[in-house]
Order: sequence, then structure tokens, then C-alpha cells
Amino acid sequence: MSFTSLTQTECMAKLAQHSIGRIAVTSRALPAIVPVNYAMTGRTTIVFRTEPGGMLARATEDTVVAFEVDELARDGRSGWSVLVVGVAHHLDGSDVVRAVASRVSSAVGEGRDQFVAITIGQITGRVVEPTPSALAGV
Amino acid sequence: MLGGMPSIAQFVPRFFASAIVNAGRAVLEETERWEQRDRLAPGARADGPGQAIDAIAPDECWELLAGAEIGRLSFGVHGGLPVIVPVNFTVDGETIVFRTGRGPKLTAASRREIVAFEADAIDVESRTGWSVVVIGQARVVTSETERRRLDALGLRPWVAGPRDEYVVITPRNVAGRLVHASQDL
Repeated sequence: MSFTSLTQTECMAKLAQHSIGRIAVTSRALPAIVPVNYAMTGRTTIVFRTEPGGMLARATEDTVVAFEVDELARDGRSGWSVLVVGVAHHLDGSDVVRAVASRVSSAVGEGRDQFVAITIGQITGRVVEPTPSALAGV
Repeated sequence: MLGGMPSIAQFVPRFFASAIVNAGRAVLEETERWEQRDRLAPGARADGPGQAIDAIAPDECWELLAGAEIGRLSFGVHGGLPVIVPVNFTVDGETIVFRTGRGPKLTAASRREIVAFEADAIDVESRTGWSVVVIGQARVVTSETERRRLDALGLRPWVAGPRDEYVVITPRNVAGRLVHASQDL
């Protein structure tokens, strides 16, 4: 198995093509990982929604977070992953929210109306490819 | 770094200052919260902000973990920035085991950091599935006896090499939840 780095452009394309990622935050001094449904707005912002006042909302106020998207074979021996490190902040009921609302699927009645944006600071990605020996089951 | 963006570095001191100040009390509060969550019956809903979840019982969490091969590990790297990396793992008793060579994962484990580990299976179309998060202390396996025992688990390393080490995460908290489309993830 070998790793190849993705270019920044390739990483951005992967982000734009997918809709489920995982965010890592610190909640009350402990790490946490939460899967989220997301959309891109512009080139550099990831948006998702969560419950106002919930753990994820509290952990994403002007805070550095990691965000990851991947597509990996079940055994992990092929696929790709993209890692973003960025600053998360809450969006209010502005035009930005209305613009992205249609793209970040909603849950009527569930009250998940806190929009959170992650401004991408660093983005890296890699492709995992099986080597011949891996294919041979070594 | 993309051009024209605010530097992450300027946010880091504030991030860590507040985290350290609140650490002692916060760990206790969080533990209580997770314990409450663990007591929920499968499918039960907790009330209150941030707790509208469908909890999965701990036993079922371990069954789900045992059936998965890929998880995501989150920890802080040098400089304090968080990362998430996929790992292939196995369950050994009620611990998470993976292999890694020299690098950030091994460094974090050798420092016995508290890490988060998550595995999930989510259908993209229906946005339904499950997610289990383990929070625990990582450590590098140094005992030859333990290494030999773990060898028998048949865990395949990402990249084979003589420096592959075993890392074990001993959980402090295990929490799982069902993901429904109606919850909008």
C-alpha cells in the first residue's frame, strides 16, 4: 500500500463532491468526533447545521477544528481522505444563511438551525493505493 | 495555507488557554454527561439542549465497533492543531488497537494523550446509520508478550515495515448514537 498526496485543488474538488464529513472538536477539555452533513459555500467555507446550544454548537464558537472527509474501501487498503484544519464560527440569520440553507439539508421541526461555518485554513489529502504485495494479501 | 485567509495560529492561544483553565472541572462534568448518556436505553432520547440523540447501549457499541475495520482518530499534533486521520483497527476486549509507524499518531500515543476515536456507517443517500465515539488514553505497546498476543489478532498495518508499533486506546467513555435523516446529522 502506498500513499500519494493530493494537490490543494484536488482536495477542494473532493470536498465539493461530498456531503458527509467528520468534525473533531474539544468539548469541555475532551476530544470529540461528530459526523455531519455539510455543504461548501464559496471556495473556502464548509457549512453545516446543528442544534443551537448543543455540544457541537458550543464547541464551534470561534474555535480551531479539524474536519475530515474520506472514501475508503472497507478494509482501508484503497481510497482517499482529505483533512481540513480551520476556524469554526457561528453564522446568524443573514443572507449567507439563506443562501446556503437550501444546500444544507434541513430537518423540519428538529430545531437544528444553528449554522456553523468552518473557514478552511489548511487542507491536505492523500490517496491510498494498494501495492502489488498488498493485492497478494501480504 | 490558502491565500488571504486568517492565520489559524492567532486563534490557538485563546483556544488552549480556555481549555486548560477549565480542564479539571470540565472533565468531571463531561464524564457525568457521558455517564448519563450511557445509561440511556437503546433508542431512548435524552432531553435538553444538545442531547436530542438516539443513544446506543455500550454493549451494542462494542458489537458495532467489532464489525468495523476503519475508524477515525483525532488528537492534537505538535503546535496544538487538531487532526483526524483514518486508521484500520480492531477491537481487543474493550480496547481499540491499531498499528502505526513513526509519525504523529505514534507521538501522540507515546505521550499517552487522550484521543477520540470514531467509527460509523452512514448511508449517504438516506443519511441514516450509526456512529460510535470512544474517548480514551492512547499508549504504545512495549511489552514483547503483549505484541505477540496482538500479532494473533491479524491486524494489518497500513504500510508494512519494521517500525510498526501497536497502539492501544483504553476507553474512558464509549457513546454511540443512531443517525437518522430526520436528525439532519
